[in-house]
Amino acid sequence: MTRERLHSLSEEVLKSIAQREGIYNHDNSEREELIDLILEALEEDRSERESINNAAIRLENKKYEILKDEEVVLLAKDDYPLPEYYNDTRIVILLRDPVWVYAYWDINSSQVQSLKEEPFFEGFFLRVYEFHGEFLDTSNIVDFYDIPVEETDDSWYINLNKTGIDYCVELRCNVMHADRLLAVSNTVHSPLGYFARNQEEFYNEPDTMMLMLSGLWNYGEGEISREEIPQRIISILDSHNIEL
Amino acid sequence: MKGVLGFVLHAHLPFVRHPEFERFLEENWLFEAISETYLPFLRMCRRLKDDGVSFRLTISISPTLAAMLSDELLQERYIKHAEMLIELGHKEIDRTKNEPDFHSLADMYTRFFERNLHDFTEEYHRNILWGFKNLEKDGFLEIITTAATHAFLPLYQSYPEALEAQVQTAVLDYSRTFGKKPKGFWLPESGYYPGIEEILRRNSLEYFFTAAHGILFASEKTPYGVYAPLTLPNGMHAFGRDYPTSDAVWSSEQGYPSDGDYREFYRDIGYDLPMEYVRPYIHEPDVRVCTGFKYYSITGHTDQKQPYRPEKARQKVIEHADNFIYNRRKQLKKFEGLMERPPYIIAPFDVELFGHWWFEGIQWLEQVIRNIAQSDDLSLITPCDYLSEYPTSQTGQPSFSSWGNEGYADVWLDGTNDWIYRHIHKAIERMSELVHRYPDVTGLKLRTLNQAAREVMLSMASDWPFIMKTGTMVPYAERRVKEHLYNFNYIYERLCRNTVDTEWLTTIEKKNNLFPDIDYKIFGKSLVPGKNS
Repeated sequence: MTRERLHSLSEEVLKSIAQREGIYNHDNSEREELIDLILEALEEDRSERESINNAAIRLENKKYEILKDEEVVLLAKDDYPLPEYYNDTRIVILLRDPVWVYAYWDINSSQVQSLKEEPFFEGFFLRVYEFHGEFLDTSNIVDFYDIPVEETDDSWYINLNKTGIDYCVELRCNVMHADRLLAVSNTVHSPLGYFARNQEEFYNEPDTMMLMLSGLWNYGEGEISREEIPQRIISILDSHNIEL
Repeated sequence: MKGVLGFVLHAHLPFVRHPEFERFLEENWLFEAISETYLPFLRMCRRLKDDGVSFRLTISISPTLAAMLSDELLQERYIKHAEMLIELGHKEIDRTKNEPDFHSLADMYTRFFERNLHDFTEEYHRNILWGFKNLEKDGFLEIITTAATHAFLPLYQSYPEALEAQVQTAVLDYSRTFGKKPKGFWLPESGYYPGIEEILRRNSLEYFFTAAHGILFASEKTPYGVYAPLTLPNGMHAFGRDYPTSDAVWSSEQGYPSDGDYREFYRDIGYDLPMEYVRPYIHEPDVRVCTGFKYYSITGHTDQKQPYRPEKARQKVIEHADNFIYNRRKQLKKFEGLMERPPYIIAPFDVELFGHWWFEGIQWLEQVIRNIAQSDDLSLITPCDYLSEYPTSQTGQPSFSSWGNEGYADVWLDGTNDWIYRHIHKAIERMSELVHRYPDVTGLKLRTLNQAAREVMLSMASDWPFIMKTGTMVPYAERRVKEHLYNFNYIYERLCRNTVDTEWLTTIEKKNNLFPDIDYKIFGKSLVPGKNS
């Protein structure tokens, strides 16, 4: 957003942008002062976004950078409304990385209503299963834990305790101190996020070759800075207290 | 030790085509890439060819990009865009006549845009895909494909029918465009999950690329690391990215493009000159955009930028190409005694980096190729060349991975964009339902169902969650996802009521007109999903 563009916007639009950028108590601000604050906030946003992205993503983003006035269509009418819900009862999980899954769910509105009308309805929760195998059954469960959710929730990021194991999530509710199954998610496999070898082997001399072949080809010569190493490999080094 | 290097250039832009508007801002993504990357890249290849320089590059051209490059409306609009820039160039030559630092640059850009227009209309008769095709025919390029609308595949692994649609449509589209089947596949954003190789293999593909940790964290120990492909249980080959080679170019601090003598991307007369002057060349209503006329060098971390001097930048190009080769040799030395075959160093890049953001990037690439051609210890080969020389390699199953932040799906699945998946997944399920309900139709229903399939696939593009996450042009990205889902849902509901609006359908068909050979029934295929489903 350029200063010139902000100058062209109405008071109302400026205030809505300010509010969105977390600039409060600006009612008495002069217009120029408010524009300064907005520009500062937008620059901070931009720097923050840049800093959290790795080099591949930062570079990929360059091809979309054709203007600084990103707010030009901010107030465009939303001509394409999406359904608020699909009136199914279902839960789906998506693996984000070895330690997080994203779960989203829907509960059929009439089912919600009838549950709420039951005299001892206590609420909904997610049951997260850790298991080994293609499908969850009672014989392959390693562990499980519950996460209470509100009726208004429809998604959740779930922190996984283990890697190298399968997960699925059940949407359940408690009625009269007993739980009831509403829906079962798909299964995801959390990858090890690690080299396929044991830890003892990791420290053996020939395996420094692996680090070199990984792209850390000048490993051990003190020439490499942490900023140059892929984040995933850094986490491995950290977990083994290996210093560069 | 001898080494082999594989430059893998990924050319992709999302499908952006708005016939309903006379000019449309986001179509500039394509026009800028044609002007600053694709045409200069083709000129580079032709220079090398004319000079008898031997080289082999791999380039993936996404189906959405190919569709736009072949589209008559966008071709016509590109010509208007180029003519507009040439007009601006002549005004700039006149305006800067008393400013020698800028005058020569105005002249340089004007000639650059004139050359682009000439190449586009005279050399390639508006369709630059011919340029790529001819270079492949002459043995300089290996052209591969990627997912039809560049979906981030790991987030659709519970929907094998959608993955099959992405892969099969891409392969069909490639065959129609290039007259043969592709052998290689660029996984969008290097997004791999165990199981996708079954769909790739079924579509006669032979290899793909992954992030480094996709190979390093494979199911089996990988004795060659990323310097040889990993052969999967189903016979496909995965090539891993070499981090140091990419980083020489990618690093924001130490990477070559950040050198102070190179051209500054962010200083453009579209922003620097008075509104009255630039108004005809920017976006309505008075929205400043980059014009491509950029007169300053990066200089350093300062707002006091120095005028850009192409001759100084050219000198840096030579230095940086030499440095790149020097470091590859240094890298090779480290491998002496570790591998009994030449390490294959894979360096993948978004091709739009070269020329567009890094203005001198094409020159650098050309210089590197020339240096390699003259060396006796390095050579440029493609994955197919490598596999014909070394058909067997280390074996195992790669790990879930991508080249995004933290190495997994964090970019395409976070608080800014996670809302899209419940709607897209539902649309995929409904599309499959429609296939089962209408297994064999003709006429208007066939057109309707094929358009429904197009709309679902367009909503799956990785570009939209990427933009939502990175924060550039977010309203447009959100609108696009919603628009395609809305179109799909409209069709779904109309089909349920058995009332198809022909006029509406025709409008949407004319607008989102990619994949002419699409077959909606692909969404009905019952396939074996991957592990994470």
